[in-house]
Amino acid sequence: MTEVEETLRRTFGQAAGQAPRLPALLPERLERIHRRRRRRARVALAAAAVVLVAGGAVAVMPGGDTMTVVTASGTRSARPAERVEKVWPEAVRKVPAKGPDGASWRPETFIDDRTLLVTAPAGFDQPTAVYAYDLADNSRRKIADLPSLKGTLSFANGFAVGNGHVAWWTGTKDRIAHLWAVPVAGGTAKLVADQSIKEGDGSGIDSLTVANGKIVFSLYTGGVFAVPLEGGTVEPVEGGAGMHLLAWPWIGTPGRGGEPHGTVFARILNVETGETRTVVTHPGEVIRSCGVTICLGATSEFQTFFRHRDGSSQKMVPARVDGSTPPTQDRFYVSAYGDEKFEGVGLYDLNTGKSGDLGIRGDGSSISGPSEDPTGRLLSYTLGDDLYMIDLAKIR
Amino acid sequence: MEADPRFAEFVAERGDALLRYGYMLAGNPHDAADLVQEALLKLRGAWHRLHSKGNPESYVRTTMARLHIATWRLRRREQLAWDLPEREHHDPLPSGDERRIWQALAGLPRKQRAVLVLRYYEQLDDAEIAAVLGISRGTVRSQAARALGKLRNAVPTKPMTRGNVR
Repeated sequence: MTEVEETLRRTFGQAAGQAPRLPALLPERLERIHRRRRRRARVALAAAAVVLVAGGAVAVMPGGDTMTVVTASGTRSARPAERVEKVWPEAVRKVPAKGPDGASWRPETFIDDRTLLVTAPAGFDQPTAVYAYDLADNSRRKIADLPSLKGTLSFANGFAVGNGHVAWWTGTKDRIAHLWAVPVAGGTAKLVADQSIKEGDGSGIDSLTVANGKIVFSLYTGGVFAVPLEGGTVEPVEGGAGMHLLAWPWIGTPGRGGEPHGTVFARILNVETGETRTVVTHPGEVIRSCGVTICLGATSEFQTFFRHRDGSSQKMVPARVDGSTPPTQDRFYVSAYGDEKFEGVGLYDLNTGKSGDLGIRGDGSSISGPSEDPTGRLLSYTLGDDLYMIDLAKIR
Repeated sequence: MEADPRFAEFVAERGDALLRYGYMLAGNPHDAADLVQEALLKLRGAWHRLHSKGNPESYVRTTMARLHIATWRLRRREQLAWDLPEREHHDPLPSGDERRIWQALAGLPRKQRAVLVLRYYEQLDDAEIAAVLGISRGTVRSQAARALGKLRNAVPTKPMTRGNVR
């Protein structure tokens, strides 16, 4: 056995210790899902047979809990005629993927219309600092160094901007999530609070924002909490038990993380007004996930659609769309295209029907999409030495 | 059809091992859990046909490998094969070469990764791998060679360990 094979075997051995553990109630849950799917399968059966006979088109497993897109053949999105920078020149920016110091950097989110929050270095190294990147003149101003506590496993992530502050979190080996903040104007990062993430698979915080002078966040395992930016006690947000932050002031359930368990954000609550909204689902169809307004689903004939949460304004799309994300800005979606294999990735506008090619190429069996910031406004991806950024808010 | 207690027993007994295998295939806990759940649901659907004559575990493992290489999923932020790390899921491995290899595995096409997992984690031979993935033995060998080549590039060549003067 060669050296690399030996190392590989050791790598698998060590990584096995990091694998998630079996949830205690999995057998019961599987039984429940199994029964529900069998009911749905009866509805979908006739249609499924037609689809498969017609040439192994889209094989989608109709399931109440997740929808997995299988096989590489079948209907795909249309290949956009032009690149995104031609279609939406006002929204697309191309900048060097590496800064003047040779270090790569990563856009996190917007500070304002002309300023990005970025961290560096990107890649597998721990980011050491957070910057304000001026899109008008490509200059970069350091906001703060990112402190690293002893035993840090989860690097600074979940960056959010609000109330003149930048907030983020890190995780340490002892399964504590540490919440940090610093003024956007610059300063020294301050440890705001600690939160135990001992429950679950250790994924920690699934969403974080700044609102009303507080860091508001939710856990992968559920539960929405808030703590004042200047520090203090982490308090549960009223009505937030078991819920996940969607887009403040909206929280909801079930969340994206963990195992699939029904329409993501099927039920949402506005914590400021008390308004609740629940997704409308018709028999036989599967709604995968919802944003505040729009949901992504598929009919019993496996046609993908976008539709308002209340069941209105359905738009069918000839596409295999990202499984976990509703359209960003309630309007755009990203999808792979290609006949036999994944040829590329397009950005599609539900409102106007326009589309643009991101320029990403697949390797035949798989392809990677762009990164989306937590607010859903920014898409970013690297092509060669260039970093592409698309500000969806600029598309009119 | 009633719930079969033997199915629940099977899940309770073998679930952790399946999750480890899913984690090797997928590289992150969420997709690993997805994969295990989907495969176990397929097993549940076929349980009455399978448990009497077959080996349910090998059915699940085969299902997981095939599902994984046939599936395209795009996840927010977390699943970018080329350059963005999964920060939420930190570094599973502490030390140098193993960590580099684990990271390099994330950059492999799924089929190549699956071949490596089956060969070096599941300890299957090429004929068995071919059967699990439904591909030819020649493809198994070429995929493995290509994947190992990429991993080799990810690990810096060590200087001679003896007689090497710095």
